[in-house]
Amino acid sequence: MAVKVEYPDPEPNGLASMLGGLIEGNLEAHPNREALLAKPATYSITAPDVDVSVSIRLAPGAVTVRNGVVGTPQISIRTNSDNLMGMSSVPLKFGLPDSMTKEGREVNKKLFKGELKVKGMWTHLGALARLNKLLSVR
Amino acid sequence: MPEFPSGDWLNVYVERINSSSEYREAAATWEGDICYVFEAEPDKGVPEDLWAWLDLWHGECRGGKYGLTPEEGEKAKFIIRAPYSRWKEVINKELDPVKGMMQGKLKLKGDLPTIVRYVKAANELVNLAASVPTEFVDEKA
Repeated sequence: MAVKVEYPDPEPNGLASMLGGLIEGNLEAHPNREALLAKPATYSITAPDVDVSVSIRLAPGAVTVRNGVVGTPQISIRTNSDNLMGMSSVPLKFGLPDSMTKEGREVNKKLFKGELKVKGMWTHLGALARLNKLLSVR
Repeated sequence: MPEFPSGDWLNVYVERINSSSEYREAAATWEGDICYVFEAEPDKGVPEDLWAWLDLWHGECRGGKYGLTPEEGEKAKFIIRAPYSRWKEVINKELDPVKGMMQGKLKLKGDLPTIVRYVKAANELVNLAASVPTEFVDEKA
């Protein structure tokens, strides 16, 4: 049975519903991606232009999405809502944006320009790659 | 000028969808019907929830139906719901629907990965809704 995303908040915010729905839909369509949950990891994602944040926790067989930034996540992602939605469609290589593609280079450009901030990227590269794969619709 | 929300408005919207080459291209492989739910705001002239259905298939709209029952509407592959005044903001292009969904102002039911794959088509549907000459029910003289 596919993994069900858990939402501990009585009313998950819009971003939590969207990212949780994306992960749940992907796990249902690609059950092999459940292997990406084998190692625990914590993330926060913030879209400042719409003033919404979520925290995501991965654990074996479980995904939890909460409203707001909870605790000190291993990886904190901060970018505007358009970039956030676009990232799910970017071609990946080893779970990171594929710089051999135009879309992948665009993401890297945003990183260099500071339009996309990923705190903890270098210390938790594997965890970032796993989240990217879980959110990818490709 | 068709009133929003109404069956007449939906008919013009369907015509706009079917005459859009941008939508045809962006949704060329899209398969699935969508229901819009305009949630009641009695003080604005919408006394009850209104359901509008679009049969979207491979870049065209094969049909639309206004005034479905919730039981009929719930069968749609995708359902987007929001209070009437939020829809008004979307049609007036004051609210971007994706941003609105992230903020919880519009609620989507359906397979999220599919919607994300077709964001361009979804945006085009919004542009087409905005192109319909509209008289809003709460602004009627």
